[in-house]
Amino acid sequence: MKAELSTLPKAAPREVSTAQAHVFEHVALPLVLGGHLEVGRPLGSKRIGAFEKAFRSPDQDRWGKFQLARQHVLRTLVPLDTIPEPSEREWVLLGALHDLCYASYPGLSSVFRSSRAPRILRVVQTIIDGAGYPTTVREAIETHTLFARVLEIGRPDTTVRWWTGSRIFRGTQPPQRLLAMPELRGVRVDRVQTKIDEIAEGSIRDPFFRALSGLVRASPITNLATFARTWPSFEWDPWLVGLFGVSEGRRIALRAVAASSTTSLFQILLPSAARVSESHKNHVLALLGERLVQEFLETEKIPSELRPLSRELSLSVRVAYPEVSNASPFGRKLELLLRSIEEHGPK
Amino acid sequence: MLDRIAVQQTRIRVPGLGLDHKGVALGQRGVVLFASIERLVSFLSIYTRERSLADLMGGLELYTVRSKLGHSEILLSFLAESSDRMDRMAETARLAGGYTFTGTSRHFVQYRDAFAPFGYDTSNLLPADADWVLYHNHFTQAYGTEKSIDLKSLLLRLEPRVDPSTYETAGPLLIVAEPGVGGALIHYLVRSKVDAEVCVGEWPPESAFDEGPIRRTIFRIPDLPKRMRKLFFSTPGMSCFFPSTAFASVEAGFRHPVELRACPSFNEGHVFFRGKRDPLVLAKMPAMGKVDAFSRVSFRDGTMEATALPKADPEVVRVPLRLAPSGKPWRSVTATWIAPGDYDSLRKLAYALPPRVIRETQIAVTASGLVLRSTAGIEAIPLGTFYIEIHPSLFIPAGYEVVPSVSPEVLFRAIGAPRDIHVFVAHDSTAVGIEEAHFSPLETFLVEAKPLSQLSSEGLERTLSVEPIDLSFESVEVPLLHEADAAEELP
Repeated sequence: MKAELSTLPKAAPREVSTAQAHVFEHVALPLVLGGHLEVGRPLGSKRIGAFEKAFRSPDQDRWGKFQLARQHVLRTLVPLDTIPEPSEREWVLLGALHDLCYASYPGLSSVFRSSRAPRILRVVQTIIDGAGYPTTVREAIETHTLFARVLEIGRPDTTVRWWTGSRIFRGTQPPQRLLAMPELRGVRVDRVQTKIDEIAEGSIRDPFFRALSGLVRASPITNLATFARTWPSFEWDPWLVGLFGVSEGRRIALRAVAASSTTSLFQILLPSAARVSESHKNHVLALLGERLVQEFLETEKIPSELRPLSRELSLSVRVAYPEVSNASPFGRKLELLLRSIEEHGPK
Repeated sequence: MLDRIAVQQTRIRVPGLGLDHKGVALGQRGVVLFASIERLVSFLSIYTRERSLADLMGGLELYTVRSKLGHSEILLSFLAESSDRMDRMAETARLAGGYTFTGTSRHFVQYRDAFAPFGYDTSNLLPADADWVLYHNHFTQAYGTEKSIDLKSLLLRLEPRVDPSTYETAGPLLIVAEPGVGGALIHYLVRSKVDAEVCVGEWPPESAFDEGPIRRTIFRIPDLPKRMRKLFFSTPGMSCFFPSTAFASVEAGFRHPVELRACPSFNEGHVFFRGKRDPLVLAKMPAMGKVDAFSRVSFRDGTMEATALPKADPEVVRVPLRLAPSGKPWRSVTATWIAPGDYDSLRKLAYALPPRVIRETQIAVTASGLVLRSTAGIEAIPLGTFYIEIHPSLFIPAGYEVVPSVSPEVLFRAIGAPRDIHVFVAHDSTAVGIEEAHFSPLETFLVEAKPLSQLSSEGLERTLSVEPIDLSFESVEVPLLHEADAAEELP
């Protein structure tokens, strides 16, 4: 059952403000600035539903850095100089992220608590579904400034081996007593960063990924910008298809995928767009054509991995620049690019 | 009947006729016979359009001749000189309807034509004692001279034809003003500042009823303004003439049938050919004077006495220096005086000044304000009172000039300031001196050196650095089983 954001039960104001402050300090701030994303007590739908847009951290310095880092991300997409505070929807998503991460806590998977994580994940899924999609492109960009690095969350796992045993500490620091006398006890410490798509195990893996996928889709720009992820796999949703339908949206999309390689754009984005519809495929082709031409103008060569896709490459250039005169310097460059594609393409 | 002279024929029967180097029969003189005076005028008109009569004037004679039958014709006689001249005359005479003959004394045979390229000869000479015996292919006629015609008189008798195009003729203009009009015209020209020369010509009385000679004022205007032309051409009492030669002029709106420039008949005095009246002939053109000399002169009432001062040492005349407003454009605005009230404006403006201006400007601080100087012009700093540099060391407010108008060097010496002092003369004519050494570059003066404070870069670094996001369960709280947690309850 999908519940709307406004229908979520509200908790008492005092614990809501405490919870929101916790979310800011331990989820929002590290999500934007980096650092430790600390999971505490699960928040639940009542508290998350009561999060207020008007919340501001009393620490002006930290609040300023938080907004500045968001501004930094914003400027990579649009030339705007101000970013508002997080909206109510964004606070809810942050709260949902907290509880999602909480559900991955290994300590929940005990004999007596085996059903807790799935129930928490169901609640999280409900909250995320209730948050829905952003209503405007501006809102989507602002949400992206918060969740741009959501898939970079990693859990530091520390394996401590000593002379009589070993233990893995997932997301926690091993106690000092285990690290004492390392030469005498033969202590060996191995630290591994486990990615977010690997932190859920067992029976909660599928619902965890469903919830994570829902969270990423709730920030469409983040969904697009991280299309090359292995898990959760990229899927076109109607919001993104609509974004590509307008030239300004394609501009923003081009900037959102600026960090991705042209090869991955052609190998991942294009085939999935073809499955949506012919017109959407043309829009994506136009985007990829622009990107290819940009890269060619800078490097004057085509990535070798793209050479087998000569047909798609030349089509994307023609769709992106249908009418360019050969008399202009830009037109001559395009001509050179198309000839290069044909020369190096498969025979 | 005449005989055509053959090629290389050497013997000619007509007395006085010979062969020139071309083999053309030629006498000493040429004669052109015209049926009427009109044909003669046509001949002269045609001939003078392209050639001058000056070549012919030496032996040119015009006669009225009469045949035995009483028929009068006009005869033009001239020195033949060469067959070329004869050819030219024959062509023109043919066009004007005249017959051309050549001969020497009395017998003149028809000049060559297309039928007889070398001319004609005749063996049937007429035994007449007439003055002129003319042998033509179609006739042979003897004429007696009736009277001679003076070319100049003929030209004078010819009436100019109407030609309105002459009104547009450019160049000098001669005006003959009737008595009473001349004086007014003189003053008109003086008032209008038109360059002109004027003289007074006298003509004999036209009738016995006239009391004395007729005096007319003659003007020579080298370049009459266009706006005055219509007035002059249409004013009664004024006749405008365009000079054809130095001695002959034709009235505006008319043209003489004969090109007077080609007729050297007029070589003294001046002839004014009037359109509908007899020409005015001046035997001698009076000397002309500038029209300005004829403007009215008036004297002051009373007498003037120049009284010399008694001989004594002249008293030194001291003139207080004053500044008077001047309408002249501002030049060399190289300084400005900024009052203390404008210091804030200068501070704000300093942020907007381009580097070149700051580099080229010098500043001096005084008790009553700041003085800024720039040899390239101070307009880039639009504050304070602008000063004009009238001397390398002397400045006066812009929009003013010093009175009395002595030279700046003299003024500077009068002030008596040393050379390294820049003098600024204020509006109240007081002078303020500022030493050159007190001016310093604006760029060193402008920036306020604040003590350095250590910048805190910690926040900035932390904001923009990309740290990994580590999920930590250090603070995780797991509620007990019996605690009903809202986190696990579906809404």
